[in-house]
Amino acid sequence: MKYVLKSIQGGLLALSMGAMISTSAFAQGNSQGHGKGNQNTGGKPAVISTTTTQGKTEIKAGTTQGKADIKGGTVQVKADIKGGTVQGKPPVSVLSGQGKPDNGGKGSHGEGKGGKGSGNGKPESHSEGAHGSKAEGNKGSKSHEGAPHGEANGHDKGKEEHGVGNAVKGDAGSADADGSHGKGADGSHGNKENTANDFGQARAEAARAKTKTVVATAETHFSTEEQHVLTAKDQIKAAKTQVEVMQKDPKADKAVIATKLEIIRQAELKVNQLDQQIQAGKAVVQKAKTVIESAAKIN
Amino acid sequence: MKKSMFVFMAVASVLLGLSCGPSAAEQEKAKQEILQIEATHQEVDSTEKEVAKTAQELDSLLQQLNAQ
Repeated sequence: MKYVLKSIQGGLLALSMGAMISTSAFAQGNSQGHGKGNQNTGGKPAVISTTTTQGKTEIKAGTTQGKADIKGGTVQVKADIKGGTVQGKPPVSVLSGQGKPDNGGKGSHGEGKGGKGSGNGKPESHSEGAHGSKAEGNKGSKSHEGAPHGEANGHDKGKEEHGVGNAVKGDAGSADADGSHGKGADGSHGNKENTANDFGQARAEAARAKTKTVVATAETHFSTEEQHVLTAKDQIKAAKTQVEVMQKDPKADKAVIATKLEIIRQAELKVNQLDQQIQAGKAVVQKAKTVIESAAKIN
Repeated sequence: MKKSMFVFMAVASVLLGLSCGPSAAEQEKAKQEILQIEATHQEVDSTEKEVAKTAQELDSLLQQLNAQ
């Protein structure tokens, strides 16, 4: 009876372990799927099978991403760099089971020097935990035209276009994204917005906050420019009157009058252009407000 | 037996809690929203820059006009 109870207990524990790993891997898998090209195009959950035989547990875990088949290890697939553009093909660690092997490494399986290919803050050690491999990282592999830390590693050199980070092109390799030092879209090092789990929460908050700030600034700016337009129109009107007076004066220099008329014409065009841009800007601001509000309601 | 049940229930609760995260569809939706917000941000920003540039050009013209 004792043995039966112990077996059941062991089985339950084994089952729970397997299920926890499965859940963890699934969550990690879900957090992906943002990559491009040879990088992380997966995002599918790891397939984990658990077999329980009288207290003994055998866990086999493999990912469906890339070519590698990992057995008996923890799948680290958190890396998700958001924002910015990866220049060059980031070498992807074979050990992570994602992408193609790094040609610059020694050997493409097992203990090969897999590329970092990740948004890991500790590139040299990202593969150690799970697989106990050397994982020295690809330090500027020629095959990928990569820089030691930047291009080749998937540490995106983000275009600072959106502040928060726009394109999700930096999924590469495996590793912990926490503490990533990618030059992300907002150029910040170790920005937590680059973590996969923050994509729908922290990053959304940051995007909303930044956009709100920009919208508020733009609104003020547009109001100021509206006044500017009115002032400019007054000045142009005054200049026109002045030119009319000059035209009546026979001694006035006609070249000066012609120059003034030309400038007035250009200024009028510019005022109209500015006016149109301000109106367009107001429409954009209104749209942005709507977007922010609707997003806030959903979340 | 009770102990086993307790362990099982505890593990089941933990697993249930862990599995209650956002689904892939929800994540995708959130992603799209974020991208939309960021795109809007960009649009506002670029429009503002255009306005600033035009205003500067207008100022330059007005200065020329006053200088004549």
